[in-house]
Amino acid sequence: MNELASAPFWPFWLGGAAVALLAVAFPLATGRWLGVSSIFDSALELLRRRSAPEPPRVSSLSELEQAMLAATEEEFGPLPADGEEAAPHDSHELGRALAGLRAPDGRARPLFLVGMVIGGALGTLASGREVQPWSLGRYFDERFGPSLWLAASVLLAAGVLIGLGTRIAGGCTSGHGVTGVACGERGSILSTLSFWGTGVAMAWLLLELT
Amino acid sequence: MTGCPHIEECPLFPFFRFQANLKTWKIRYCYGEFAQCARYALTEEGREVPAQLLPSGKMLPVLR
Repeated sequence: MNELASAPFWPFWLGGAAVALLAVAFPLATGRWLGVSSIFDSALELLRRRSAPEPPRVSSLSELEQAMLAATEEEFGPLPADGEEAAPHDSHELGRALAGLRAPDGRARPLFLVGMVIGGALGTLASGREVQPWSLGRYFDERFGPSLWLAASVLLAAGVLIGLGTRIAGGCTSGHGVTGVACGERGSILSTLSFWGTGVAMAWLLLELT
Repeated sequence: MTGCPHIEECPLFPFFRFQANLKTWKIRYCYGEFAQCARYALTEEGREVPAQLLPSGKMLPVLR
């Protein structure tokens, strides 16, 4: 622990201010709450969509309405031949709706993940600390030896568990711990208490055992 | 009339609202069982809603 306490970290308040600024700026800029695991989820969704066959594009409102009518018949059965007249159309509103359907769907959002890696690397380089990407720390090395494969296996397993946990919980430390708690969401507060509390308990237990 | 809380931002709702032949969607989902709407579910989960996703969960075979 003394090793961590004496490490030349940047001021804690600077990190807190940066996270707070991002938590406010992100939804203002994108219209969506900040949540790193959700961004990762949407990146995977984009990859999945790329492998799916590309549906044809619509070029006009009437074309879209025809497709909707066909989908309506498929869902609810044949439409009455002498159906009601359409309500007075607000073409401006429908045009806006069509624009909304064609709006960019957050394809640039995964770049946030790239930025995180770059930011982390820049921060480490700027700190002047010795970089040991495969080391899990002195305590781990003393107990299990400096094995690259073991460290890689532990990191991989930990990543899988974190990934599963965040998807089951519907968010991670950023989504629940920062955004959700800031918004007073009860589920986020409970989630944060849960993963933070069990993390502290587990760290304490490991330190006691080693 | 109470209904889905996401009506205002849903890009499909104006079509259900103005086109009489599409009103079944509005009655069934927007003002009815909106909790069953696939778009509502994704929105509530904070996930991205595909433009061509219909309330039933099927995809409209146009757009993108």
